[in-house]
Amino acid sequence: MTEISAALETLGDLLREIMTEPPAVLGPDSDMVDEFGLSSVDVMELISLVEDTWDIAFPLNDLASIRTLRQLAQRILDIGAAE
Amino acid sequence: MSLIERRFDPDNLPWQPDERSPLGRPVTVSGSPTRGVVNGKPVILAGTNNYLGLTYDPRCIEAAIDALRRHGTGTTGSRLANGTYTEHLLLEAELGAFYGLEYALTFTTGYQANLGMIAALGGSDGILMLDGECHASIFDGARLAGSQLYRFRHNDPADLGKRLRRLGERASDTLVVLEGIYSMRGDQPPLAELCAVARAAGACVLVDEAHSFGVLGRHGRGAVEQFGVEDLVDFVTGTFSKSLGATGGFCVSRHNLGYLVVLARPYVFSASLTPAVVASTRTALTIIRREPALRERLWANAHRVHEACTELGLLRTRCESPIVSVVLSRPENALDIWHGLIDHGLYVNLVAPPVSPGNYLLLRCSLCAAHTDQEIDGIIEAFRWLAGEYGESILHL
Repeated sequence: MTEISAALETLGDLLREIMTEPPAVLGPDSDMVDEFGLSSVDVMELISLVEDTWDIAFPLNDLASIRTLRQLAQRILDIGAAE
Repeated sequence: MSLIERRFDPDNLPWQPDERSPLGRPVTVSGSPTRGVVNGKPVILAGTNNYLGLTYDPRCIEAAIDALRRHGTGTTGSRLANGTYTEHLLLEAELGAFYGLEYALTFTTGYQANLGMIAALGGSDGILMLDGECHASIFDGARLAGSQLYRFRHNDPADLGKRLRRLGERASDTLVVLEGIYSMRGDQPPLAELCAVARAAGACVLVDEAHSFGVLGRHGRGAVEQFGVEDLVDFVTGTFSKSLGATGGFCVSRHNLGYLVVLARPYVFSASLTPAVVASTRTALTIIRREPALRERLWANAHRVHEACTELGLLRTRCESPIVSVVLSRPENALDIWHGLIDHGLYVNLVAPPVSPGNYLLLRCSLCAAHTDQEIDGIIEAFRWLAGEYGESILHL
């Protein structure tokens, strides 16, 4: 399993933990807000869990350019590599 | 969708802008801080943030009228241009003296105080670490700053410590932002623990006392006084629009704020506080200093309503502030409940996401020192109706 695939799988687990009714398929290139129906509160919770799971500091500013799980996974790996 | 279609999409609003919407519902107030008319019905006002009831204090009103006559209706200019009157400087000196701090700045609104201070302090090269339930003005200040922005779990010192640790050496470039009382649920922070964690990491601290100024602390200096952390806090911001009964905002500090004013864009590019507001605020500050009985009365009212709501099964939280918030589990009947409370003579705030801190709605009641025993009875009776009719709609977090 590649690093990005593993990150996507972990993110899927975190989303299922947060959402009361997660979509059956969490497509890596789907829009998390428009297609998954993630609320702003859910997004904040997801980022808290991401920080704890990868032990990184994830700046909220980065969210402006992230729409999909794949983009989020890539950003997590980039931050981890930089730290 | 075009820009216009997207911006004017009815789905953007929690409630459609019709005659049932609580958004911007006119409240007619005439002669009393605690009585008004909403939807044509006489109500007890318990959603105003008018904690000490000073909006109708005759001393504040007379001071405002006198200033209006002597100095006119507005300053028509920024503090950096023609908008600094002697009275602005006196108000700042009095605020500084109230806190025992050398430096104070006033802003035209409380929102602008947070926006200006946080943007100026954060800057593009700083780091801001905000409690997850901080007010929108604080998050907006962070966006204006362009700082790296992080949040920690609400009121959780261990979580703050963990997140500061992850910043490594950059923790010393960080401003931690907290509130004295959180406006929606009315809870207090574990301020001593949070400040200790922040200082141990080398971060500096700003506490927004918008809802705690005049409410907490032996002298009314807010949570920083109540929790004994005045020496650990770098900046205190606050508003004149709650306990002080006017409008405006401030920051006090031991650091020389004169170096910061040109960076605080809302300070530079807004007309300054009007003379009437400065005068009534100075008078209200004197009243807060001299009349602790107002604070005692406020807390007595808060405890009575909180205890009654607990007995009615509406609350399971401790009474930590004059804010009593009942959480609704079913948004579909929230409007019926809110209108029902008005029909039963009570005005409270109906708050929906994203203004409320979670994915739920709040009936937010704020008590006032000027509420009489009879009015408190009326508030409790309206909540008794709520518990009887809609008890199954109440959520306990």
